[in-house]
Amino acid sequence: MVKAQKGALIEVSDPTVKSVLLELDEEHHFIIKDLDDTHVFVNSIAVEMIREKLDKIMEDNTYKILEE
Amino acid sequence: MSESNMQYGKRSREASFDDRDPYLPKKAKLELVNTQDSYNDNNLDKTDSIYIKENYTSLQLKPDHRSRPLWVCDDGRIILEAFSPIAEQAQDFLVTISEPVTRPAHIHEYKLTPYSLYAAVSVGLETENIIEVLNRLSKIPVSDTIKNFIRDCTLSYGKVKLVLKHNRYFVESIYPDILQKLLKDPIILNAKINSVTNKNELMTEKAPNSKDIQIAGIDKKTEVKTEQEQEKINEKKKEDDQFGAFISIEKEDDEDEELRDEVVHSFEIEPACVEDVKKRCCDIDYPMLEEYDFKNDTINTNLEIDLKPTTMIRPYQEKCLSKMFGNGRARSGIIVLPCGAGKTLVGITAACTIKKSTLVLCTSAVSVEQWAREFKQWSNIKDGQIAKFTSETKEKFMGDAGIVISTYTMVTHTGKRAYDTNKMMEFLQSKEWGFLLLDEVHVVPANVFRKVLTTVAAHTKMGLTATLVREDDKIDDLNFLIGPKLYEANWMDLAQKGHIANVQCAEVWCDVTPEFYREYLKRSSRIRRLLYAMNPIKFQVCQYLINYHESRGDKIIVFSDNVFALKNYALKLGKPYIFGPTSQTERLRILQQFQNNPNLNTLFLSKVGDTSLDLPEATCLIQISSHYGSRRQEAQRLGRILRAKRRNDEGFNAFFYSLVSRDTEEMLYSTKRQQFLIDQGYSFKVITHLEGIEKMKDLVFSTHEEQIELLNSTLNATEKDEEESDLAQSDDVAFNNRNRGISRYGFATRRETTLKSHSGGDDMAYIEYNRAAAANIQKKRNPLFKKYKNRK
Repeated sequence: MVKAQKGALIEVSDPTVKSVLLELDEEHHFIIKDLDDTHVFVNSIAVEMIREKLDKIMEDNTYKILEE
Repeated sequence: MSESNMQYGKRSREASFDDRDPYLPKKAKLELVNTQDSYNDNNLDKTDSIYIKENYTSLQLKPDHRSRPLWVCDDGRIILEAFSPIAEQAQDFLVTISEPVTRPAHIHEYKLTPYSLYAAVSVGLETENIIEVLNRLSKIPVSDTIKNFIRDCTLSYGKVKLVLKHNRYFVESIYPDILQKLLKDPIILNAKINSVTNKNELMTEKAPNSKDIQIAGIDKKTEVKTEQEQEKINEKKKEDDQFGAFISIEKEDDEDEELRDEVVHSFEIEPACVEDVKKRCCDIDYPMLEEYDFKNDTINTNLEIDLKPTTMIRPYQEKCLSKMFGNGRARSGIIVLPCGAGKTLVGITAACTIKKSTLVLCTSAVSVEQWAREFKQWSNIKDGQIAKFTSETKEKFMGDAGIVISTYTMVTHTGKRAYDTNKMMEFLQSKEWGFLLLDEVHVVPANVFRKVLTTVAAHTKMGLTATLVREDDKIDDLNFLIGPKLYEANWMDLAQKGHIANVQCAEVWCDVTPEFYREYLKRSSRIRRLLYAMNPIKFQVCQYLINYHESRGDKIIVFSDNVFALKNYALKLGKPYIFGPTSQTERLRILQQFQNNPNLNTLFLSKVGDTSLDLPEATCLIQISSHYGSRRQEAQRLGRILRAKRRNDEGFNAFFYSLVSRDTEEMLYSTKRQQFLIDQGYSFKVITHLEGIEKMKDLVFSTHEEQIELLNSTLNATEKDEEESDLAQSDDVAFNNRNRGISRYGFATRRETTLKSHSGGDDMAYIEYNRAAAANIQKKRNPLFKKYKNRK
């Protein structure tokens, strides 16, 4: 039987971002198919969550002068 | 913003008022506080709230604001337009009254703090003078808030001095009414020595003058200088015409002295009560400045020391010293100069000027050796008068006066001590020191420092440092423990004048390979640090930079805090490395090779090389791993190439690269580390891609398999591989090219020493002749020896 699932194609700019995605996937399981080095096909429900988490992780490594 | 929204007040210090340091005056905690904090509206993003909070549009510009260089803000910040024609004079003035926050090329920021105002008053500026000059230089009228703040902070500071002359302590002031006020206090009154019948009578005399004193090494140039000064004054007069009566700091100093030529009033106090009086004066908010009238000190013997005639002092060093000996007496304080700008010479010159017994404290045994060498190099001190006190050598100087060089740990150590160490400490404590020189004061937290001050009795204290920053705020109190900051040099200025090298700083962003990044995301912070240091791309970048600079003829130092990374990099790239456990002879051998061998141009160093390593040959520096966000380390490392020998060559640049793995914590630390240097006016270029790196031959870890192998070996690295042993950390870099004893060609040395030490007699410490006692010692032998004994 054919099973259809709504998904979204994510194109990543560099391998690090993909590593983060794979890491997130271990917890949330949203990746439907890992296509190649720069493309991942994910469950469309998770897109918003991915964006948020990704932003947070990248933000953590930036030095903010305003905090001082 | 209207003034009513601002106020200055005490920080919530009252709660812990009881454990307040008795040496700190209350006003030290005074701070300008912005009370207009009601913008917590979540709808505003950060830029908006800054705009509203820092809206200065209501401030009125003076009509001729274009020719004035300053903005004086209500929160104590002062912005200087460094491109203004009178910026240089304004800068001199601002350095005296405020703390430099950041000094890049065009716009400088300064901040008024109680400490800085305290420093200003202590070098002889007066409250109304400060306000007047500030007002004259400002584009906007100086607000009452600032005026009140300055008045509040300076009103009671610096008005009373504790002077030691003719070996008697005097409380001195040019304001007789303040002294009368002090005398109403019972504690101070008790301490007063009543030499005259009338108990409230004050002694009056002529104030001291800077003309009475000659700072060693400066005197010869006086005549030449007067001409230059005349020119300067002429120039200033021209400026005066433009700006009404603009007062530059130098002129002000002169005027002050003329004013003070009048009279000073003083009363004498019991030497035993000095501490009580000092504390009491702090309590009633008249902290005393300590001055040492060394010329009139007759009890402490003079030390025969002078600078060698060949020793030349640079203009900024002279400036430091003139701040210190401004009125013919020695003031205590801190002097901030960049690494490689000759801090040591400033210290030695000061010692040569005071000419009394001197105690030098530094951070490690190696620096002790270095100081001793420098003293011998620059001054005519006799060998017998200079003594070292470390765990290995415990010497006393001959005669009544001399120099002792020791470390902070030796003096403050609390645990058990060896017999001769104890003897030496007693010796240190029994003496009265004319001059206490504190090297690298930023490394010593206030509590250790307080201990030094209680153990050693010294008349003048001088702190030397390059980086008055710490990641904790333990150095704030130093201002009051040692004295105000007397001088802080502008790094960019010194670089322009060729005293230190010009440096190009760059941060190189290295991508992380996907495999490494996956592991990075999973692992604990210890492995993370290892992973971003061992990133194969970083490896390649490092190799590329080394190749590039070696072909240009640069000598390169590569720094790595992480020992595992250090070893791996060095072995892979086939370069020598030095870290904690490296033996002394090995170090010297490597360093000599580095200095003299044209085939060896790169050297890997762990953090043992951060400070007190003098390698003028090095012209390029690559940093692959570092200690979190330590601004001090970054600056100290930069200091390694500031004294580059070739710095005066046409168009010469030294290079400082910091390699950073992208998207890791390292990015954050790296930005934080750079803050100090950026504030000094350095700018970091970001390099994201190096041209031609793919085409390079023999690039390391270019295949996937090699990278995976590296990853595995990295993950298997244990904590032991990574850290230097404790023993290694306490040890500092023990090598130096100034070690003249070592010849260029080998290790044959020639030195003068006693026959006793040649025959090894120095190590003989203890022989027990008493039989009963000797037998006792034998009984306590290790059981192992018993076994041997029985066999025989």
